Amino acid sequence: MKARRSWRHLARLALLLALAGVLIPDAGTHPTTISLTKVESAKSVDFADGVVWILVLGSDARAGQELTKGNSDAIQLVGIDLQSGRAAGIGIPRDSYFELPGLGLDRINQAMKDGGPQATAAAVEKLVGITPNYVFVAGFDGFTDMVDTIGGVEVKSTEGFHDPRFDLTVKKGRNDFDGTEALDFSRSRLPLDAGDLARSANQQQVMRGILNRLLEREDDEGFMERGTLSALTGLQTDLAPTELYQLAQAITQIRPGRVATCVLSGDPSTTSAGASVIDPHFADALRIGADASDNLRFDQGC
Amino acid sequence: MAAMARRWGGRDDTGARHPRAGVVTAAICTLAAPLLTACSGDEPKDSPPPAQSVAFHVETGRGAGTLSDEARTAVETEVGDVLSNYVVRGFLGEYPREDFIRAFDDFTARTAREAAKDIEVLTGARFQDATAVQATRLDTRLSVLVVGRDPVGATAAVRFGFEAEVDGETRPFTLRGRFLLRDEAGTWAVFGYDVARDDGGAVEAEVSP
Repeated sequence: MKARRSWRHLARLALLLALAGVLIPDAGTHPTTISLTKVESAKSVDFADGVVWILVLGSDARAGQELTKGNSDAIQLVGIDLQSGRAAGIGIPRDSYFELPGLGLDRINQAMKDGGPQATAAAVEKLVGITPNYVFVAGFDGFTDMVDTIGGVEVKSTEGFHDPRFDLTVKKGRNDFDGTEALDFSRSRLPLDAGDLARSANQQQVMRGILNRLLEREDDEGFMERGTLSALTGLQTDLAPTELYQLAQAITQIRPGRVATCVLSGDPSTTSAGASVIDPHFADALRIGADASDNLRFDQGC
Repeated sequence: MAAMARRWGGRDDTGARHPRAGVVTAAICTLAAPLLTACSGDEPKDSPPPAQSVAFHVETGRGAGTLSDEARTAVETEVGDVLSNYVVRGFLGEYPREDFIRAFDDFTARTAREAAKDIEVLTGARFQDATAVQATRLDTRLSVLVVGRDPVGATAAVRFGFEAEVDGETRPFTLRGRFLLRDEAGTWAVFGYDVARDDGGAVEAEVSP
């Protein structure tokens, strides 16, 4: 829960001092005395003890439609541990096709429309063995507004592609996206070699970009408040406004170097009705869930 | 404590709030002994005068949502009370002293636990043997989250400056950063902090190649 940067300032000044000794000609003949300042930092944000799992669902509900009446085309299970500063994202391909609890054999992205967010949570739990503590549902407009509110996101793509459906051109490597571009990047599937699996990984890249933006701008006056208000407007969640504000502030304790992601694997398949689906690797999914459940690391691989 | 609120929080004797144009100031008695009652204005006439005071300055900057003038004044007053209590309990008072942990009385339980581990950064604990600690600057700028008409959270960006009298020397130090607060049922509490403590030029270094 804490991030100390004790003596960081001192170290920086010492480095400057060392550089001065190398770069400034006169430094070789006239010793210089400089006062070094010790700065200590302390940080903590109260949200929860231990690991918290949040199921983030992206709904394809259209304008005027209830978010929970849409298909969940993005399904990300995100774990955070504020004490360790770790986070883990488990991406679940929307075409994962299996016996959904209480709903029967179907794609997991149908669960929300047929049984609400809790039905999706139950399906995720069956797949990876983790019960989400909270469920967030975002729609197209809400997501776009949120990303625009924080000033867009920088996203790293593992491949370059053009998706004519969204008129979206993505470079391999760094891309700076506004809200609409980030949404389109999260939805693009057809141009990607790995299809739905790659799309899920791209959604995780967008989430990394959002985290990085929060960390960059958390000190900007009113930034966290505006971001929270945007989230309150664009998200459907069972968290009270105060709790969502605390969560938003708490997320800034996550260290980007301690974020691990994994997308559940499966085999492409076709249903008897001719629909393209993915048969998930159940044993791997449960292993990955068990691996990450306590320490948010994929020690046994993804 | 009603007198404290009047002095620090902008209420008159009837409890009504004074509408103010975005700035609330309150005097902090830098030699508060006992900590809070010394500022109450009820001291006997023959008691020694307060040694020094510095304005506790609270203003509201950019936030999110629509904050009415009345609500802004209320937030500035109430959050100002929480933070000024923290400053008095954490840094001021009669030295030498030890009860710095009281600084976290208005923190949430989990945050107070963490703050106790950071007590040397968050309070004047490392100057517990000083003869006095005085405030030189107490500036706070708020960013308030308003949902509907209700302020539910706030970031308080602080710039606090102090001077400790230690072994006949004056040692300035500062605390800068952010305190995070939430309002639940009319009570503001600190649920987070992200601060930097600078205790001044403690190290002299000489470079010669």
